[in-house]
Amino acid sequence: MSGLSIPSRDSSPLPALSRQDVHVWFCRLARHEEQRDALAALLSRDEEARAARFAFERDRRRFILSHGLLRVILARYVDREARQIEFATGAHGKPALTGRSCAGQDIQFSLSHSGEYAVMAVAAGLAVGVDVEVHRPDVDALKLAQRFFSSEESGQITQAQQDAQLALFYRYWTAKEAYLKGRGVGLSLGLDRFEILFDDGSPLAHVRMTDCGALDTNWHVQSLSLADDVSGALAVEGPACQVRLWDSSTDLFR
Amino acid sequence: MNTPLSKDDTRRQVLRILGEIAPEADTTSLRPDVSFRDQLDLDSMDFLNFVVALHKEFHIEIPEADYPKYMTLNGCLTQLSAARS
Repeated sequence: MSGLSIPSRDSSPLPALSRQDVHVWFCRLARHEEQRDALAALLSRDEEARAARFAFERDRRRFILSHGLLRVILARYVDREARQIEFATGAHGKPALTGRSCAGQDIQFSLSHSGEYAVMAVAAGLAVGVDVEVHRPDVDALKLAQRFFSSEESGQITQAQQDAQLALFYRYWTAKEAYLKGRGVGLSLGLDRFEILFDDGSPLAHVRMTDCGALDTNWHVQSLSLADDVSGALAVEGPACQVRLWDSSTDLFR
Repeated sequence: MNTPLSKDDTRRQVLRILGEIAPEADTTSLRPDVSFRDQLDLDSMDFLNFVVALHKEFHIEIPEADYPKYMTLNGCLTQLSAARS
C-alpha cells in the first residue's frame, strides 16, 4: 500500500460551496484500497477504537476507508488538515464538526455507507442527511413496507410491477432515512409518521407528516443516481438547492 | 399468559435471532454493552428486521421510542425481562 497519497487541502481546489449548493461525494471504497494505510493514519483515537470493535475485518476496513475519506473530503471545505478535524455527536448519533474544525464556518455534513459504497453530503449553513443502500435481493420489501411505511407508500410499492418493487422500496427507504438523518432524530420518530411524495418523473420529493397532513416545507428530499443496484437520497433543510455529484476516486485523488 | 423464560433462555433466543439477521456473525463473542451496529455493522434495515423478529418470538410490542434500548444485548435482555414480567 502506498503511504502518502492523501492530497493536502490546498490541492485541486473544488468549486466554492455556496449556500445554494450541496456537494455529494460518491465513494467506491475498493478504489481506495491503496490509500488505506494513509487514510487509517488520519483517524482519531476514538475512531480507531470504534474500528477495533467490529467483529469482522471486512467491516473494520470499510469503516477505516469511509471515515478516512470523510476527513479528507471535509478538509477541502474547512481550514484544517484532515487529521485535525474534530467531531461531536448529537443525541441520535448525528455527527457534526466541532472545536476549531468549524471556527468561523458552518459546514454541515452527513455520511452513509452500504457494502462497498459510501456517500457523503457537504453543505454550507444547511443541515443535510444522506443515505445509500446496496439493493439486497433477499429483503422482504413488501413486508417491511407494510409494517413500517405509511399506507400510501406501501400501497405504491404493492401496486408496482413485481420486478420494480425492490427498486421502488429502496427509493422510499433511502429518502426516509436521509430525512431522519438530516433531522438527527433516528428511527424513533417512526417511519410511518411521515411520507415521501415524489414528483412524477423527477428525483425531487416533498415530505408530508401523516398525522396532520401538512408538508414539512423546511426540508427537501431527492433521489441520487449513483450506480446500478444502489439507491441513494439526500435531504436538505431549506429551499431546493443545486446538487453537485463528485466521485472520490476521480475528483479527490487526481 | 407468557411462559416465564430464564435470562439464559432469553439470551439464547436473542442471539439466535441476531444470528439470523447477521448470519456470518459469531454471536457468542458479542460484547453485551456495545451496540450491535458498532460490532456487526447492522444497518437500520437489519435493526427493523431484528425488531420484527423479537416481536414475533416474544409476543411483545416495541414502540419506536424504545428502539434505542434494544440496540445492545444487555439492553434487549433488560427490556424483554421488563416486558414479560
